[in-house]
Amino acid sequence: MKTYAFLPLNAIMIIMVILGSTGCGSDNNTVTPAPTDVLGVTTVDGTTIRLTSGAPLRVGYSAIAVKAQRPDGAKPQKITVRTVMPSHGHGCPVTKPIDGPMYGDTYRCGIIFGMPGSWQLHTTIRYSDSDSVVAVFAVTVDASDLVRNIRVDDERGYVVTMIPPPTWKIGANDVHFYVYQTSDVREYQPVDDCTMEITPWMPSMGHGSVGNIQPTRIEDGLYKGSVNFSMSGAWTITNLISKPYGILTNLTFDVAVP
Amino acid sequence: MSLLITMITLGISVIPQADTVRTDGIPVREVSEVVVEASPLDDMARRAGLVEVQRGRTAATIVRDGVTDGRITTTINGMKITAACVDHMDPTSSYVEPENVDRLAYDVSSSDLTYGSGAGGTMNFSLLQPRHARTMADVGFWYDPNGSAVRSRLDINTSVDASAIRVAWVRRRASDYTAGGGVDVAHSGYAHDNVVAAVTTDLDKDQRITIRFLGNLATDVGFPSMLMDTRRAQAGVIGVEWQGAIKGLPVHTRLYSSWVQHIMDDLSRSHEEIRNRLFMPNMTMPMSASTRTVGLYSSVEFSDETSILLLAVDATSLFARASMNMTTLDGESTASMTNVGDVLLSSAAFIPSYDVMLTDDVLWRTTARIDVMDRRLLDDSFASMLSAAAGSSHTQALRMAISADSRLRFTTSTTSSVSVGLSRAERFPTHLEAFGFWMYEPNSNIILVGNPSLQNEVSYACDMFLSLHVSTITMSARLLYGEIHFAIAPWKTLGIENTAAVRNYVNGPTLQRFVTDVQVNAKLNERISIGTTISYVRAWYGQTDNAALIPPRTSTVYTNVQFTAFTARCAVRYVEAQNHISTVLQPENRTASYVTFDVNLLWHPVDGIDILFDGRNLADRRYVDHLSIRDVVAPGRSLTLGLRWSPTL
Ligand SMILES: [Cu+2]
Ligand SMILES: [Cu+2]
Repeated sequence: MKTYAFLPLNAIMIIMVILGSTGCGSDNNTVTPAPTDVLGVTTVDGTTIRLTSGAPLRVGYSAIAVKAQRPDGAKPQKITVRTVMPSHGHGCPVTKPIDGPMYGDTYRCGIIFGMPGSWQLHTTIRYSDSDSVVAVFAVTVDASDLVRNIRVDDERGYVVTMIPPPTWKIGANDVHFYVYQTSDVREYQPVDDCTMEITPWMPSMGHGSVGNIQPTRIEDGLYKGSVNFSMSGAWTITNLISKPYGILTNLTFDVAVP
Repeated sequence: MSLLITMITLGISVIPQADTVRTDGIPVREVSEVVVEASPLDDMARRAGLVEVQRGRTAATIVRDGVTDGRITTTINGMKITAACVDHMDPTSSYVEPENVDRLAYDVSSSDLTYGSGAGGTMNFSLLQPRHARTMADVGFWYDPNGSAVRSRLDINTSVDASAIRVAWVRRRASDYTAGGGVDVAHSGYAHDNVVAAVTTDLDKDQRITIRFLGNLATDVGFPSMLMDTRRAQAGVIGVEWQGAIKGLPVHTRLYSSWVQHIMDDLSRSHEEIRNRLFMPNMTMPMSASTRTVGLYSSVEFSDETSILLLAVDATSLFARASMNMTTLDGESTASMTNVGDVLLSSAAFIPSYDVMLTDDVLWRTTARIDVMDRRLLDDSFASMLSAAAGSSHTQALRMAISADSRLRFTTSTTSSVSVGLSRAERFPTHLEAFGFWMYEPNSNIILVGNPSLQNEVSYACDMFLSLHVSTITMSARLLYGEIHFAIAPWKTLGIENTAAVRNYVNGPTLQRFVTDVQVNAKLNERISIGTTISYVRAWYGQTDNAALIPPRTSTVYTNVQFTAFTARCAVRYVEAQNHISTVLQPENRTASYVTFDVNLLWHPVDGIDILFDGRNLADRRYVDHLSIRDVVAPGRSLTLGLRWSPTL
């Protein structure tokens, strides 16, 4: 049995709680903290699919969780999420979560939205080779400054996103970067051979900081480092990304440290 | 056994220890101290064989044997007060007003372990002591046209039965001074007020209670060598001291609290200066810092015919914080930074000291000091930032330090002696060395970052002190060789910011020191004495570097003339060029040699009136003291005229 349920945006609106709602009770027995923003809940052929995120969706990395439940308690074999921005016809990278396993009580992943606007998330829940359900959720993504698209030539482009901690603070802050490449803006492959050199800088005062840890690859396409802010105020983080053949790009992100 | 209190006074009068109660029949622990009468701090320091790091005309830091700051313990009647500024603007000595001090004293050995265990020993300032059976007032006024420096003083003492009270107030004001050759040094003016008060009561023959207070207020103190000036600095010390005897054993107990609040800013600096400075250009950066110290000291002495055992405890607790706000000149960007994030240092020391007369002429003293300290950072975000910068996450530590000193004193006659000593002095890092952040060192244009995982520094020294009196000639000589192991210094470079290197304190290479000091005084007749002093210090880090801010070899020749109502002192001081400079650790400039002429006159025309003249640098020589931060030129000719009126009431 294969069911494909396309839920048009207006239909989804009925059953989905749009961004900004506070969560309903999350499961207490989850291994990792459960996302709390419910992006949508739908039932397709008896399978209830619930899509949640840890925070309102915005351009950049968003943590997503998908939970599928059947009355008989069957466990899905595999869940996949595919993204598409209908108005532009392109997708965006779907990654492992930066903070824990993909499979626990819920399936978790990260989505690196490249643009603000309306997106569709196609979730496929596979119970066996012949038994899967698909639900499509329409979501709205807010703007942010966290993603850079680098076009190297007509063939290749890169997507780099900075994943800030929940709040910036004085002191050491973990910072992650995802690097993906694409040739068709539909399929994205992680890039693992980058070297990164981050420099926090306070432009108003012309100084940086000491005690930063340069990002290194920890997962497919994922790099982890740490920036140390010595004072509150407006900072920038510059990331000079190199590939083995030379410099790929030099990106600057603005940061306000409260 | 000799019960003398040995005072080594460098050609100046011996001041008895007025604030100690002595119980009849009990041997008295001898002290070999350098004691100097109250006089302006630079003069007091110079006469005591000390020098100071100059940051302007005020707030100098005492240097002894080539070490300063955390390696010297400074106390006020045995009470500790902790400097708050992260840029050395308020050394402990800036909170004592020489006019309100009876004397400055320190042990001739390098490691007096009574109050601390730094390589430079302890400097103890004794505040004015209330006098029993006396009612008196003392009013003084001094004026120096160089910088229109005005100093005025009021000192009142009265007593009722067994109690005495004394209150003294000194007020100092000055505008910018003129350096030798006639150039004004901007931002060198200051305004200082200092009050000391003490009440003392003799409860009975053997018991005395003294309550002391010191309050210091500095406003608008300029620092030509720094980026900022002190806008307001308040400091206070209050303590109660009990001296007495329990079952015939002399006991001394002191409980005190001290606090400092220091506010500095660059609001007096021109926008042009701020815009063009090397460090943090285009920003104004007011900063505030505070410390609070609470302490308890208690000692008891056990003695028999030939020996004295002193047992003491010295406990302190320090809380410190400092922060800075920054705003661009256009007011568009703001930032704030913590320089010391809620530090709490609690320490306790046990100090046994044993004196024994081996023969009639040989005294053997052994002192130990066992310190335990708990140090912690209470501000989490600051701890995170500092740990990341210093690469260490030791925000809490419990440490122990063991120090010991052993010396022999041979008395060859009643007035001549030689003592030799060996010492090991282990000290904890200061709160700034461990937990300070972004402390600017203008002399070398470096930014200093504390290191929470610093280990203790250990100083080893052997010294010899010779004191000779042959007919009318008095001579003292001191030799010291010392090594400071795990010497705490900012050797590690973390990066470059704003053209300044960011350096981290680490336990670095051994600092070696060689100190020699000779003082000779000859009394030519009843009226005239002449003398000379020569001091030489070398301090170096093996093959690596010379230590910075080491005074060049200095020789002084002086003569004192004394008539019934008239005293004069003339001194010529020759300071050699300093070519042994630091080029790696704290790069500094060579300084040239110079000569200064000073004259000091005191005229006592009638009872109760003193007229003073203090002339410094009479030749108006333009020179840079090697210990002047950023080579600020020293004051030129200064002619202070003073009047003191002390009516007997
Ligand atoms: Cu800044
Ligand atoms: Cu200051």
